[in-house]
Amino acid sequence: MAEKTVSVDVLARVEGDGGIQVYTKNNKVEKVLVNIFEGPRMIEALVRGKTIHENISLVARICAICTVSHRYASVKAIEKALNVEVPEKIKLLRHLWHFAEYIESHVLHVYYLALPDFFKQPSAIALLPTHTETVVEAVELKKFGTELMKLLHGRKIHGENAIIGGFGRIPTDEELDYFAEKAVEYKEKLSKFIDVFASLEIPDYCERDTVFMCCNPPNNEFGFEGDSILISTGEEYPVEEYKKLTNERVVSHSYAKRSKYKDKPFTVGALARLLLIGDRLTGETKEKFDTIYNERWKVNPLYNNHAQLIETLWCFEQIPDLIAKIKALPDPEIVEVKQKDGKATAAVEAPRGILYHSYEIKDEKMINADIITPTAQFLDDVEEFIKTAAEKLLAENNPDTELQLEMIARAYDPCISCSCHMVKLVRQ
Amino acid sequence: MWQREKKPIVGVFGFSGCAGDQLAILHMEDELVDFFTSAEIKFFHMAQSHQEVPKVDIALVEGSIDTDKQLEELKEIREMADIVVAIGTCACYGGIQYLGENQEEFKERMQYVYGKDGKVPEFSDLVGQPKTAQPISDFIKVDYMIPGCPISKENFIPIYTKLISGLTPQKYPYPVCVECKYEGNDCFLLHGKFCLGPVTAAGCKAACPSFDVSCVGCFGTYEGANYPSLFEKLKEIGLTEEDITRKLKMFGGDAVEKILKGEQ
Repeated sequence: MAEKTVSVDVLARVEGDGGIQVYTKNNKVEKVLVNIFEGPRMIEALVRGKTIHENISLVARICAICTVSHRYASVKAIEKALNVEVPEKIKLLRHLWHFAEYIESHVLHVYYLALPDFFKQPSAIALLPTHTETVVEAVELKKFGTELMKLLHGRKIHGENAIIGGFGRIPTDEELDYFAEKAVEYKEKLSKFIDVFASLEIPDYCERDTVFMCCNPPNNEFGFEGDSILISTGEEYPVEEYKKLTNERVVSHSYAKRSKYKDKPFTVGALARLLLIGDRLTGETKEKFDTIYNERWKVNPLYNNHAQLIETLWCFEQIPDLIAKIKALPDPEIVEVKQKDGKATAAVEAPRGILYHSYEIKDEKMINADIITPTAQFLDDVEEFIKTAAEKLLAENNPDTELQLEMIARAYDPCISCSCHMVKLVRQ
Repeated sequence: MWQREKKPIVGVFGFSGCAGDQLAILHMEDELVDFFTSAEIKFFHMAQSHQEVPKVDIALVEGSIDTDKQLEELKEIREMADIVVAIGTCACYGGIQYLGENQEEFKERMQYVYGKDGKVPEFSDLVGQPKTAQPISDFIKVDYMIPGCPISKENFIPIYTKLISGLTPQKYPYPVCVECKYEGNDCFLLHGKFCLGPVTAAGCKAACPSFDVSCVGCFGTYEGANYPSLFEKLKEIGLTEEDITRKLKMFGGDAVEKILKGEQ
């Protein structure tokens, strides 16, 4: 009689198709399942036998929101495997290309997907009558991101311009200047919004300790890629040892695989990055981070929203200097691939966390591929945080239980390739 | 000013894919507010919650069907919608994951991705049982198809605005080459370089050739495409029959499979 189920049949405002089920007995939460309904596409299997060039087009299609990160990780892994060294200008353009995706993805997530919860509205569009300026600003900021993606990626989604050894077309100085100027303007706007967002009350139902992981960018700088992984336990592993960190396994309630490190769930993403390497931020972004940071960030994934805003600010702050450096260098030719066989693992930080691409290549064709997405890494931890919150919410008979649980899942910005809406409370 | 009597109800649904076609709608920053106000937008779980209704006038459906649960949901959508529009190459042709009737390949891929010790684990009925990826037209009547990986707004908006106005959209029977000429690009094939433009449906404004990279065929095939001529040309520049077939199948799904088997 004391059994009940809280069920979010479809998780809305996330990328992909999923839901949440909370099973309780005698007022104790027995288990939490974040179900992934998104059907199996088996991309790692279908790229076998394809050429390295075909591979980068295919793997980018794993996800539309992080199309750049997938293509970037793929190009990096192939270049590493086949010893292709690209010139400095290409490296810098790739940073800019990646920043564009960060702005697009983070603005979409915080403003369009997460913000409506704080006002109990179903969508960002529903906020238009009451928060007109904020919604207009969200559209403007995201447009900056998607237009910059279009310039470097070739399209807003699944462009083919970034290739092994370089770019098909390198943007002109005039095209880049527009974004350098706009970045300054948008940095100011975003900075003000961060102050507003930081003043919102953050619920504390889900708070618990966990483990964080992120890439360690080179030269002790802040950034979104690296050849080793930092862990909040103080350990560090080269990316080649990624299997020790993820220990992927299949669960029956999800077509996305799951990960644990030393038998414990862990968190990746903006919050992990800021907690592990946030001290490497500089300038105005550092000041803003120091102002809004508090100790609860370490135990509450809802602060991932704040962390994403800080990273977006960092991108806007970096872009003018980055563009100046890019313009100072001559346009290089596309680097030719000479070696045909190889094996390598590369990692980049997708906006929602570490993304591994590990390949074996023979005769310029894909023999084996192993791709581990951030969502596959953090889903176990989402379930743990929801469990902690559900126990408290159910104990106090909170009328907003479903919304509170959805907010936790959404804060992670899961890329289920889209979803947690309709949490249903079924009492038996 | 002309006005409709009432706004149509449009449902946006997603199955297996990258969600890129729904995201392409959210990425139309200049038209976003118009999109959400010119029709009653329902479902669209990627962008909003709690917007379910029993009937819609138009259903925009993204993604391929990869589980029995998705198949049941697809049939429900057909029942609740007057017009069903497949958006994106996955819904139209099956997309990059298309497997059609190929059970053997399906088993092999399941084993490769999910298998352990020679066995594929069982999946719960909560998430549905897996099956070969197929386009939605394999199971329900589809009224219109807007292909693209992802769809482009240049192609989507003219079709969509006609549909919500109760008009009939026109077919756009051109290959990428036509748009490529409009954009003033040089031809890859004439320079002995690979390109799938001649057999690929237009609508992208030749996005990739305009960046000096070849068309990979992501909009799928177009009616009247001359495949023998493309094979001949690509062989001339050094591709094997196997290379060409593999490249055509990347995004071609069921339509290209039928063409290659000589069924169409």
